[in-house]
Amino acid sequence: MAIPVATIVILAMSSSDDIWAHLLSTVLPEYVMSTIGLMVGVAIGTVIIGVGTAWLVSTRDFPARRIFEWALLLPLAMPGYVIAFVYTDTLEFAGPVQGALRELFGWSSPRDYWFPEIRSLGGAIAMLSLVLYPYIYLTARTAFLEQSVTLLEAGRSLGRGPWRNFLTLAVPMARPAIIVGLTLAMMETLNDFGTVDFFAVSTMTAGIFDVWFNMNSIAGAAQIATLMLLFVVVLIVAERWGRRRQRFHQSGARVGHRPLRPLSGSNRYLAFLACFLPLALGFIYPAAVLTNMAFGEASSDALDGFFSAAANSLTLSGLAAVFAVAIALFLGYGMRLYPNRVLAVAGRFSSLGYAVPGAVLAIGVITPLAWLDNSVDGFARSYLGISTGLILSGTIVAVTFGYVTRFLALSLGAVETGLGRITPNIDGAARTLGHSPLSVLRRIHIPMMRGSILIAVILVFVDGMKELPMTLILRPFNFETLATQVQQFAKAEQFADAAPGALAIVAVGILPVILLSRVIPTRRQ
Amino acid sequence: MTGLLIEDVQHAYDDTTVLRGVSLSVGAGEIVCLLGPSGCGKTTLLRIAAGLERLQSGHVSVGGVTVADGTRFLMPEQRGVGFMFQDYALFPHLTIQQNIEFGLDGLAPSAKEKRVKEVLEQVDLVGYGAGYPHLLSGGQQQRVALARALAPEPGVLLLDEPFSGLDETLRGQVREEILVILKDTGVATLMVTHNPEEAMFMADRMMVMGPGGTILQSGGPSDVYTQPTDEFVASFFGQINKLTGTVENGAVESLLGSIATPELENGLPVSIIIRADGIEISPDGSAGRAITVTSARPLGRSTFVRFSVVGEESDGSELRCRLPGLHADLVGQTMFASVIDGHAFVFPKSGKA
Repeated sequence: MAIPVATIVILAMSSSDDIWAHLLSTVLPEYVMSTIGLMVGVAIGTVIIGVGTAWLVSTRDFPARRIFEWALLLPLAMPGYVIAFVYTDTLEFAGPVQGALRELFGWSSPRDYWFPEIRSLGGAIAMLSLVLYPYIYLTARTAFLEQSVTLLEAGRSLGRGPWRNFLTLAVPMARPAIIVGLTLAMMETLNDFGTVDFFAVSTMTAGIFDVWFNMNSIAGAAQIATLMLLFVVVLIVAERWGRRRQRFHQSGARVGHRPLRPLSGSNRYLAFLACFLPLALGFIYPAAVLTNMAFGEASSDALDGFFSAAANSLTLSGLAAVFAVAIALFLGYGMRLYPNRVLAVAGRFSSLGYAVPGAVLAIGVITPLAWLDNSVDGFARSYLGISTGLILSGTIVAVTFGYVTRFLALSLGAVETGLGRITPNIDGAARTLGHSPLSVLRRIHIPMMRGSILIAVILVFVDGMKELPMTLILRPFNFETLATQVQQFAKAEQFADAAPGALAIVAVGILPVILLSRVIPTRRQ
Repeated sequence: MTGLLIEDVQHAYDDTTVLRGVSLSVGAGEIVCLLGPSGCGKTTLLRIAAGLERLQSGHVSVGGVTVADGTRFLMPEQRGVGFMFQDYALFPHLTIQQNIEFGLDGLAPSAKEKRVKEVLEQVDLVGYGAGYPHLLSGGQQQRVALARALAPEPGVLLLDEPFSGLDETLRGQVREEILVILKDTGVATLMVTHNPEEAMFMADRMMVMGPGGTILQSGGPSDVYTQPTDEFVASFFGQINKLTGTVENGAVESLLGSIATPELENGLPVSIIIRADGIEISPDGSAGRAITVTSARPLGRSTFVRFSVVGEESDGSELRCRLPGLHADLVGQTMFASVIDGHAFVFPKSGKA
């Protein structure tokens, strides 16, 4: 894990050409401005949707509230690059919406009317906000549920209306939790390549691809990557801060269950609409469009490609899940057996992978692998007289390694939670009954934490299925996964052909949503 | 033969020293109880003996074989030491049978089955083998934990607060059963507890450990109770009255009369510890000092009484005692109090007190 990050920094520092100056005077300012614009926009969008819906479902009663509790998580299953092409299909000039408007008002050409351009920074902000708000919904909801009701009642009794109460008491108390969710959403925003590429928004991630593939400069890409690491550091610091404060803010006396406040008359329907809209736009509508396209309009060629791509996706994600969980088990168990600083730091460090954007991590993975390949090849040629070529670079091994470095945090988190629930006395009992640490792991810990291990496998597997930027950089030549295939068809405007793959990714993506919905608390204390 | 021998063990967590030169031995068939307040390092000592905690300094041997010293460290699985945990630590995903078999890996299947049957009989749980631990009551779980620890026939058995997880009514019964089982098997047992009554009940030999991580006194349970050599030990067995005084002519004058102190030199400032159970109160004035009872709270078998001494010696302070029987009607009455022989202890005043 440390190797990729170190590589990026070394590459960026050691570049001999004047790429940096060149970048700075040309495209870099635009990359940075677009990235900041996108992040600010998505932050505002996700906070408004996430906090608003979380507040409604955790404190008010209105029609279908119980369903919204878990259904509001569903957009999490929708990757940004999928929702992007669905809405492009709907909202572009030839799409049904503009067509209907033209029909209605008798317009005939784009000069007759104004319609927002979906392929823009604004469009990207809207798309990412719709699929990333659940991160904030999740953390804010937990915070609202844990807030003491009496505190808010005290606010009311001191003469504050419900809105002022919400803005001056509930939200500030939930702020650390909201920040944790927001940093996660921002990490995903920074990571996104599919959406911004499709909408031609030149963020830094898009810039990495541009500089690398179009300008052929790995050093230049690494320099952009280093700059992105600065953003990452800020996000990590913010997240840690939020988590520390969260503990502090959530302590305090709690009073038993209170019935939720039923909303009156039209307010009930407003609340319903406020929750239904993000769900419909972020999941129901795009899923329906995809289903319709996949089963009606996809060409038979696309369907042929679908199965081989699906097989590749399953293989890669499966391998990544197995390795990530195995490594997490040994790392987690090692930390339990030998609670020393070195392992603890290794554990913390390895979980940073999730914060580093996939494109950045890919550069850090590919460079050392290429170096290793060249060394082996050189060795073989000079001593054995044969060329081994590239053994690792551009192979499944490279992609799997990339996935594992990026998703290890997920599996390690799940494994550590599972191990944390087993008291150390269980270890002691098993050891004094004559079993070695390895035997204890196999016969006691692994069976006892089957559930956590399954969760770890699912989380890594699903993120592997969705992964796009790393796969694009690290994959073997002509090797397609569902994600890369969807992206390619979408770029070629063959939306119907992209639909089967997209639908499959979304279907798999629902798995962790189900897991999450079972874990989150549903009652207010 | 010696089952467990611990010599001069020191242990510290970060900057906090929890054990300072602790030595003890447990012979085969002997039950030794280590009694001490919470946090005095008792459990750490057990974990060091089992190898669950790395020995920092000292020497540990089991059955005459060194298992840990400055150079050698035998893993817990290689020591042949049984450990029963405070929370029992039964494996929740295994049946009772599988829990007990867990320590019998080396045996053939038929021998395993036979041994499991034996220990289940021993702890009176025949027929429970197929069930899972969470289906059992607390007392039953504890007996499974004991059966599991005893199944591999360890030379040494370590018990960490074995009765603390049980409710009051069950406790007395369970400890009787366990005492019988331990005496049957003849295993060298080291038990740790903070409950003096439990320690006295179980122990052949008892050691009292102070908060400083040293052993203050050891000996037979009655000896330690009746002849404490240390103020801390004397005050550890239930409620006490603490008074001060000065030795004069081989005796010290207390609120409740003179106590002989032949070994202490004249003029020495001393602390006097009088157990709450060690005071007699009677309406008869021939023995003891006149007192006024200020409160009397019935406890069931006994009554908790507060009183103050009448007369010029009184400094106004209250003393407390526990009288057998129910005496709620004593409040406000004038009675006579005296110390029962052997229930008052005098120690040279320690620097702090």
